[in-house]
Amino acid sequence: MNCREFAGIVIDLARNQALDTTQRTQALLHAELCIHCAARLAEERAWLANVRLVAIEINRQEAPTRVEAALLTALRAQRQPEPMRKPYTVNAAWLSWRWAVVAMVLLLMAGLAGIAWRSSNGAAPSQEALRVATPLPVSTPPVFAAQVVATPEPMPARVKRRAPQQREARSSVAPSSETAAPFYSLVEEGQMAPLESGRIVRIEVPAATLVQLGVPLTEATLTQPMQADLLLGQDGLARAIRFVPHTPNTRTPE
Amino acid sequence: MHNVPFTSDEELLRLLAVGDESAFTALYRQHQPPIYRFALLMSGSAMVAEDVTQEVFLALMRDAHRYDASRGTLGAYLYGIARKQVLRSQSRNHSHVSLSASAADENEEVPTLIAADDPLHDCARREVILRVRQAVLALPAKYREVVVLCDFQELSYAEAASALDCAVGTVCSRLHRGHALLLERLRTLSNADAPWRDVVVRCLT
Repeated sequence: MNCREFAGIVIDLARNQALDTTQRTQALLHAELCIHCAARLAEERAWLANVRLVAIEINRQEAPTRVEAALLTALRAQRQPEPMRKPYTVNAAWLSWRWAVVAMVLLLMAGLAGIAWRSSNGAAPSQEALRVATPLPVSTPPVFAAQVVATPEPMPARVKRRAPQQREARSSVAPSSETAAPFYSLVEEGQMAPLESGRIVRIEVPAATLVQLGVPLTEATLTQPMQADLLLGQDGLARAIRFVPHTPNTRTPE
Repeated sequence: MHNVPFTSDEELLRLLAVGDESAFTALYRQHQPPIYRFALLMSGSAMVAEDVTQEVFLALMRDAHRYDASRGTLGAYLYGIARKQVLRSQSRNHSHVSLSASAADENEEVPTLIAADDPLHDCARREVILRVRQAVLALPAKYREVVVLCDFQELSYAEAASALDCAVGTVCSRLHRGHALLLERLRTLSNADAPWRDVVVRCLT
């Protein structure tokens, strides 16, 4: 063993640890031959003796009892507010998120309604549309079905006066499930002026938004946007909505 | 409240997470003394050591879930927190580093009054202790923490590496370097305290 190797293990040698017998014997033999390494080993042993002296002295010392008392007080304080705060936080977050979704949908509807109203300002009120109250009967007349498919164009008066054979042809385009869907009121009784005239606008609503609003959807329709017919009043505000089941034919424009 | 006389650290931490006071007390009483001593040796101030101990256990109370048993013992984890707290405290207030004011530390005055069988021996012993602690405090922090953990707290290299979040080889090399600096410092202190050793004394014979 040379001095460099000895210096690498001198601490472990002084501590009598982590050395195998051969290495230890060689190190001690080297210390007998080398004065410098012997002095280094003596210094390390003296240092360890001093460390033990300090350790004995310092081992009497501990943190004062007031630290433990303060920590226990902190533990009690930490434990108390949690059961009250947690449910409140969760509920608040859930409610605010839900309200945000509702507000977003209403804004979307109002925006669409406003655009449709402006584009068709002055058009004659549809008497058929006036018939759409809340909720509508399950079977809607074929004329109304034709009007629904004709949207989002403003509903001209002439559409109502189509020949019976034309009406039949148009109603065959729209599936029967679409005509059977009832309208749901978006306003409460007396909240708005009575419906004097109106129009129907077709919109697409993300299925996820409808789920958040509590509208029951099947798994098949959950991933695609839902089509809906929006009944707008004479003031341009949405009065009622009905959901149109998604079929390729329903999107066919006139 | 549960009675937790002989429970593992993991079990005590689980109980602490649900606010069990006796679990906390058991953990505190088991781990507080070494943490306090570590902070005391690192800072040289009983006041800082007290603050650090309190911060360490507050951190454990708040974030008991952060301890990962696969990365080391709870003791090593707590040493890690204590080490950061000491360094933070020292960077905030450098006046605590000096041990010359150690007489002002209330905890250090008590042993002086207890051990007085042989006043001369006791005086010499106290002088050695003071000198060793001064030498330790004079070390740079990265060597000091290794010396305190391995020499004074008698942690293995692996445990110290876990506490300091470094490799075992780094611990070994820092310990060697720290010892070299300490021995040099002690030699300097001895010579400064006994200047007559280097002065030629007239021979009267």
